[in-house]
Amino acid sequence: MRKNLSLIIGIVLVLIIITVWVMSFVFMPYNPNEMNIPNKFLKPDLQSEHILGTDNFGRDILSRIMYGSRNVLLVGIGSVTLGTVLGIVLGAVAAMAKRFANTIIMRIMDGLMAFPGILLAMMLVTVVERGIQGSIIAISIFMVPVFSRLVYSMILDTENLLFIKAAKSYGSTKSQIFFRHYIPAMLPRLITQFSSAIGSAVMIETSLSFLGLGIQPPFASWGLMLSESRQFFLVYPYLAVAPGIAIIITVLGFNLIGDGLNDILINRRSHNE
Amino acid sequence: MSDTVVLNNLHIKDGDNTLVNKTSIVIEQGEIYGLVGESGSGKTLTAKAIIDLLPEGLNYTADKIITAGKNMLIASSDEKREHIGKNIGYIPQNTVFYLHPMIKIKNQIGDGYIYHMNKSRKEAMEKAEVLLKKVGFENPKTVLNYYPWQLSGGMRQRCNIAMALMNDPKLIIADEPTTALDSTVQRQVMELFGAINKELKISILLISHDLGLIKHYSHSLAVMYAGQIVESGYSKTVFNNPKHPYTQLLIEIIPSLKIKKSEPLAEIPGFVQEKGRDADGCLFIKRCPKAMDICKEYVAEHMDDMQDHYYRCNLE
Amino acid sequence: MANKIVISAVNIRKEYVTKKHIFTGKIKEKYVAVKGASFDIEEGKTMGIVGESGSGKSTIGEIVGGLQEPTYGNVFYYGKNIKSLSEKEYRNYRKSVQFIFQDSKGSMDPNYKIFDILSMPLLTINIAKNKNEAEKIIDKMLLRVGLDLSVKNKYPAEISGGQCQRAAIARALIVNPKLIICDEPVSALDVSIQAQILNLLRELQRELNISYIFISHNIGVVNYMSDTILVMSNGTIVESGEAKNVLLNPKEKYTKKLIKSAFL
Repeated sequence: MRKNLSLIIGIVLVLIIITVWVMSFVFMPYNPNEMNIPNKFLKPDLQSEHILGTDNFGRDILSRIMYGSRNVLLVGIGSVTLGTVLGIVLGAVAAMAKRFANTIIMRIMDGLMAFPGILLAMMLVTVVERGIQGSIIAISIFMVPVFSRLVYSMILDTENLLFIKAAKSYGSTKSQIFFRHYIPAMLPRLITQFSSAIGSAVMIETSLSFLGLGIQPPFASWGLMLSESRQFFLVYPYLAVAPGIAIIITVLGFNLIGDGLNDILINRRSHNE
Repeated sequence: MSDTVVLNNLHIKDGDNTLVNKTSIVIEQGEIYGLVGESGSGKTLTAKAIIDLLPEGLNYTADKIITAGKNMLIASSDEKREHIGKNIGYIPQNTVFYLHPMIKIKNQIGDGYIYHMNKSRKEAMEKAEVLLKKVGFENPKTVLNYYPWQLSGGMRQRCNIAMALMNDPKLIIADEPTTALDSTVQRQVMELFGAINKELKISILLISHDLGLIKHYSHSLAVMYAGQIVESGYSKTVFNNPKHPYTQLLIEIIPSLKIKKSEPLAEIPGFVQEKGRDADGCLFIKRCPKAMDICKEYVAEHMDDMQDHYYRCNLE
Repeated sequence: MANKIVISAVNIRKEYVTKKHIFTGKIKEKYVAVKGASFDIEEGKTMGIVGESGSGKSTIGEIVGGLQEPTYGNVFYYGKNIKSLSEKEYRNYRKSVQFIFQDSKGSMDPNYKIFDILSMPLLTINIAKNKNEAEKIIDKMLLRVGLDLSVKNKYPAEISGGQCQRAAIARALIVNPKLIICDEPVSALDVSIQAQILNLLRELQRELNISYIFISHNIGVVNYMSDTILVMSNGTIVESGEAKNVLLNPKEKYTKKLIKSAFL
């Protein structure tokens, strides 16, 4: 199992975050927005009531981290799911349709991909609206070209294979061929890409929150917590550590899962040949 | 005249599973030796064992492996590699895809020659031209400038043969050299092997599932079934007097003009077994039209020294 | 009573455009794969097409089977031009003409088990409404082609080449076709297995009165399987006629060359 170390570590890390997320609905030590000025700037102390300490408004950091996991996962997974579905549809249409539709779709995708992720997300958010909805829409639009190009090239690869010819010979319609043959062929790579994409989406969401374009105060989000910790960094560095580590675990976890799945895919391919 | 290959009692295992058992082959200097059998009979593995190219994970033992004069059982890995590189030309199965598709012929054909024989690029190109002409290309210079995908299957195979000849090998091993080729091209390729053997006196080990093909182009042959040699000897002898029922059936199914369309073709029902190849009894028993009770436990070996005709069967 | 004609091809010509003027779209260079083929295929009979790679034989097969359209010329199914069939008639034609390919494993989606591969045509053409109905038909067909029912749960990669080709034959037969186009069905198999497959195809023809187009580069095999033969070279039919006449009295040099290479 040495080869799957990435996958195992990735799964462990993601499980940690998911546990935190589940716990945020079951039991949070404190209300994450509850200010308690007299208790502000308490250092992290495993034996105290505030395990990870409190911030400049006396809010419990652990609870804020737990609360923050909700929108990170919502935006991360939600936006990638939306982007994937749209991407698959557009990529499939481009691959299976006539020249004209094909060209238009793919050139639009090229245009979108020309922008660096965070820049595109920022532009889209100012158009759409700040907050969770805005983030989801902006990031999903960023994800669409990635998936549509992947699907487009995979369909082009597969459509010349002999078993597709055979399927046509007994009268399969285009949609039957798409769902029965193209999708199963593309699924492994799509899943891998999906996982890695969540890592990227979390990064972008965090960056948007950091810049104040994501979820708005007083609600807790990791990016916002990082941003708010800047003023006090020299005096109370611990304020940045908790959200920083949470972000690292999440992004690293999803990326490692993506890498690990990719390795399995490649190994499986070479054994079949 | 020393023999090019002496293989004695080869046994190949994959974990607990025996793949090749008690296999012995002697290829005389300058002869074409056919190794015949269905897919899965162990012919490729046997050939690879002779040149130390078995895949990792397989264990093999033998009493003797002498290839082109070198005792392969006692030589070091480096010695073996060098010896094989200089003295054997190996054309594996499915070689229509063997040449690197993104590199021109001229930039691949000389690699082995330059490396093993310590020659310059110029000398390699000159030799390549000569050999390409020999294998039937009228314009060797043009061919050298092609990419493999610009050539047809038969042409690629001829390039492979030229490449195998670059080091003036003592032995060429060609594994299923004619699959994926049209029958007219198959003929050309086989004629080429015959010509090379006659002119350059190179020994050739031809591996095929097609006894009809081997019939006309080999001096000696061995028939393998489920990892064992069931019959071997000079081709003429074996064809005039095949002793093993499997050989007899293989000869029967060779197509001829005399086939009556109204009758079904002679066929060998069933298929080669993968497991249980180390049994003492005959492995062909389930498909053999002449099987007897004793064949379950024991198989007699016969060797006619005069005719050099060997077979494993309880029938006389 | 004369047999009905299943397929009639009239002056089929297939051209591929290799170079087009980028602005005007005018055709600068083209490759002609088939130069003008005409033939009839009777019910229950086999027409063989023999020739080397690139002779156009596979192209003709694909045109008759509807996988490609001819550039010029027409194909008639039971007398009706396939270009002018109604939607229902076209579906019927599609079901009636099936294929078997040289690479039987490649012709099956590696992500599915043999059972699913065989049930797909049944479900597509609505012969069976669900997997249960399909199973009865599939079981019967697998036994008919000489396969053990255990292959239903295997993937194409897990069975041998010969078994895979039998499964491909089962798939082609399962929709009750009138004509099966066999494109080099035994060329990739061991000679000892070839005979099994050819015998099976012949038995099935006698039993079910199916027509075949049998395509191969080996004139010996084509002769054995066919009633009539087309000999093709570079897209043209150079010789044609009853199989035994063509083989025993070849008129063209090319035919003689093919014969010589098939029988050593």
